[in-house]
This record gives sequence, structure tokens and C-alpha cells, in this order.
Amino acid sequence: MVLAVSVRFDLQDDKGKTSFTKVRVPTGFSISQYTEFAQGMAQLIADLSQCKVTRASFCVGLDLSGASIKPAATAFSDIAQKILVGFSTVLAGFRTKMKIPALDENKVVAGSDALDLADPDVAGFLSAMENGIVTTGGTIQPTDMRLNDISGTDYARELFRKK
Amino acid sequence: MALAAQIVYTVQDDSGERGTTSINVPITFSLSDYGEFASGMGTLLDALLSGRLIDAEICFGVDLSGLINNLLGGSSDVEEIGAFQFRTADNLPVSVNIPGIDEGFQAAGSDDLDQSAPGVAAFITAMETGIVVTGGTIIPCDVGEVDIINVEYARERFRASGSKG
Repeated sequence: MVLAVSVRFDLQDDKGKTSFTKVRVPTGFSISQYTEFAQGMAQLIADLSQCKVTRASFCVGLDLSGASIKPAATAFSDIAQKILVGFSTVLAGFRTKMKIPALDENKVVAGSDALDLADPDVAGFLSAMENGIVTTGGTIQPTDMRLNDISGTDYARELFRKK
Repeated sequence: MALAAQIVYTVQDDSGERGTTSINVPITFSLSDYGEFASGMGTLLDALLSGRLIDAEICFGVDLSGLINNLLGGSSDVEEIGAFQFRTADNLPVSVNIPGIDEGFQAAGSDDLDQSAPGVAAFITAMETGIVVTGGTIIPCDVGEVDIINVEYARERFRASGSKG
């Protein structure tokens, strides 16, 4: 089932407390159209509220039907067992981290917390993070939050964290 | 400063618990390009995991620098809610709660918001008939994409901050 696009507005009051509200809109529009809608609706909400609208964002569902995905989780899989990967970026000193839930233990080097970098699946993932994935419109290169391209892997290991 | 978009994957383990991971990407591509990226990266992630990827979405931040009078009121409180309930074309309810509703919109002697007040009326009109954007009109809907067509009520309500929006 196709789910509507969710547009979220974050607000803050003069005590510093925060809250948010969401408005759902249909799929089928472009990024720039959703941006225009969010800006228009944010103004209407700002006009209604004594709080300040501090952030607006929208999330669009992506179709994973083209991906090769296992039909069901493996027995004893656990989201608390995570992969922790540290990446460096093209901007010296700027690093970023990624936690991925439900690691396959077979990807860990025996007697170690380190991911096996020679494993083809691990190597394939890290290569895509460092070099991007080719799409019709060009290569999409993962970045840090400030749009600095990821350029290398500092570490990749197992980590246990609930949620 | 422009910030990256985030592709967020949800993973479910065999006990049904869910976790997420996200990848930052540039903001200059189309939704179909992001779909291609998400599928390709989804295949690579799946090979690393014992859990199952169950969905992916991409989230974009919006520039709010053009907002007018987006200021903190002296007695503003996010727990003071403007509770709006709308109905869709399928007659299903859709609630939208606006934190920090301006008390000036409250009808005297009542919890109801004055639906004829310009700010309230403009918001209700936008929810019912949409906002015009370049190349079309985006009309708010429910989660199943059925359009909102009318307002059922608009009233003041109090709710603890941090609860669902």
C-alpha cells in the first residue's frame, strides 16, 4: 500500500519546550513542490501559534521492490546487535558514524569485534559508502550531515546497544 | 547552510523489534534517483544483516528563512494545543494538533476556536482545499492518501509536551 508523504513541523515555546505536528499529503509531487507546500503550511502554522516554527521537513517513502532482500529475519536476529562504522570525509577532521541494527554475526572476524573487511558483502557496502551508487541521474555519493563526501572508512565493528 | 537529505531504513528482527539506520545524501537528485540508490544500498545492507529491511524513506529539511512573524510569544506553551479534526472523502477522521495555539483565536466562553478568525480560517481552507504550488495544488490527506474535505471541530486542548504531534 502506498502511504502518504509526511510533512513535519517542529515548534518551540518561550520556555524551551518543543513539540511537533504533522500533515500528510499525497505522493506524486516533486521535491520542490513538497518544499513549497511545507513553506506555505509553515507560515499558516506560525500565524496560528505563539510558538516559533523551528524546523520543517518531509519524508517520502521509497520503493525497495528492486532490492534483493531476504524474505524474513533470520532466527535469533536482534536489532540490539549493531554494526558501528566510522567514516572520514573529504574535509579533514570531519568524521561521521553510522549504526546499523541486526548485524549478521558471520561478518565479524573470529575472536574480535571487527567486521571482516575482506568479506565481499562488507567490502561491497563500504565501497558504496565511499564511492557512491550510480543512478540514472548520476552517482549519489553518501555524505556527512553537512554534505561533505565520505572518502574512507576509519573503523567497522560490532556494537551492542538497545534501540 | 544546506543540510544533507537522509535515507532512513527500518530493520526488523525475528522478535518483531524495529531499529533504523540512516545515510546522508546530497539534495540535488530526483525522487526516482533516490529510489534507485535506496534499492542498491538496500541490497548491500541486507547482505550484512540478520534482520530484514522492511522499508525506506528519504527525508528533506525545508528552508524556513522566508517565514514572516515567526516569533516566540511571551507566554507561549507547546502544551496548549489547537486541536483540529478533519474528515476525508471516505469520512475518516484526521487530527492535526497545533502546539502553542494563540489564545486570541479562542471563542469567548468556550474551548472552541473561532473558525471565522482569519488565521484559523486560512489554515482550515488550506487543509480542505490545499496549497497551490508550482505546477499543481497539494491537498492534505490521510495516511491512505484520501483527501481531507471538511473540518469537524477546532478547539483548544492541553497535552503534555513530548506526546505525539
